[in-house]
Amino acid sequence: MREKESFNIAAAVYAFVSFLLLLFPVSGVVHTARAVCAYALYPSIYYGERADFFLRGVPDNVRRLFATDQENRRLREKIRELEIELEKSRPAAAEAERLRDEMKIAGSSKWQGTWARVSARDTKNWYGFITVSRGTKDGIKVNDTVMAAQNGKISLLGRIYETYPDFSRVMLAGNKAFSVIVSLGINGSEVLAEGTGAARMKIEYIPENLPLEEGTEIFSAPDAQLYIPNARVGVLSKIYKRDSEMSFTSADVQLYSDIDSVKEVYIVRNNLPDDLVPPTEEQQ
Amino acid sequence: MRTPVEIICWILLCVFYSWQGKYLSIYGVSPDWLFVTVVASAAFSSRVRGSTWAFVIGLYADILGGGAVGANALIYTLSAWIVQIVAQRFDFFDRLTQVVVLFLFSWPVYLAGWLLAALFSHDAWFSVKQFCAVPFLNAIAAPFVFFVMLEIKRFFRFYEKN
Repeated sequence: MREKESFNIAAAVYAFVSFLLLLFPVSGVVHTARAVCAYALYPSIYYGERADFFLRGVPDNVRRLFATDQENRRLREKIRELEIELEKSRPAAAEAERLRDEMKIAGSSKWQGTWARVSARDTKNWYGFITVSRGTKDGIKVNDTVMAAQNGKISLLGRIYETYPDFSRVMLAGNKAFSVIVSLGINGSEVLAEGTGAARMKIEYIPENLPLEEGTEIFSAPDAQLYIPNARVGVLSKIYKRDSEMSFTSADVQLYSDIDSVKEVYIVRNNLPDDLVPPTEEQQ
Repeated sequence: MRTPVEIICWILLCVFYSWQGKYLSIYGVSPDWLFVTVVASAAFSSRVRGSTWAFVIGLYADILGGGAVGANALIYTLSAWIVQIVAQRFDFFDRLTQVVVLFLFSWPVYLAGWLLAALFSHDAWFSVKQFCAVPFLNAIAAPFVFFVMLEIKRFFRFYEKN
């Protein structure tokens, strides 16, 4: 009998408590606590289409809180992806900048020519030859002048030595077989500069009476036939002491063109006089 | 010894209940395992203990369900109370009795749940599919749940008469 009474009392108390829970606005608090606990332990269940199922009964402001956190995570992920993309595009942007500069320099020059890519280098004779991606199909001819557009200046790099339909070999100004008549300063005295097998040229015979100064700019001779006239070549980098028995002095010329980093060249048509054009194989 | 074992059993039931909704449902409908177990527990436990577990499990169902908190607790408590009164006249060891009681009991329980949700919550929705299917599934699940309940009580020597 006592057990029956206690049973009835227990059932009544539980029913009363349940009813109180129904009457008081605790559902939002309870479901928020449930959602927060679940989100703290296992946030991924709130992603995707089942999010609504797990967030049932949760007040809108708490839903928005979760949505904000998820959006924050998504945006952080997006930022990481974009940073990677940015890192990837940085070299391309630098390359584009360099090409734009080259185009600008070439566009402002008085010579009209053709751009070509450096497609190969001669590893045994690094300062001797390079191969460029234009050939006879593009109208390239032997002895055309090859210029480099670097550091805001367009300067002499070499000349076309051999031509093929799709590519050409360029003899560089540093090649020992290369020589060019240059003037010391624009329209200055003319002397012969020769390649040294390195990234510089040498002027062997400079009359002793000429005033020389390191840093003097060297240009191709104004009346040059083989090369385009008044093209920048380099600067006098070192002047050697005159031998007491000789009436000449010598100097090194640091070339403007940097063969180590050149990637594109500008080939200028020379239009040599007929008597300077070498005979073709058929004519030979 | 008895209470810790029961707590562990109820926790395992809650875990099973959370898991089964995804893997054991048939076209999105599954037996109300919590309710069937509460009825079985009320039929074979002492009266106060049965009511207490019905209330606790009802609260768990409320928290898990997302509806009005207290609705399931109230329904399960009243169900346990009714079952324990009925148990004096019916033999719950008989499987047919288990099936019939669960079958007949499930409809008013579902309706009561929907009614309380409509009164105290904003998201009361009535599923005809669940209303039609769940009583049958509960009736099918009843013999299994009663059997497991009895075996556990026998194993731990928890069996007691009302």
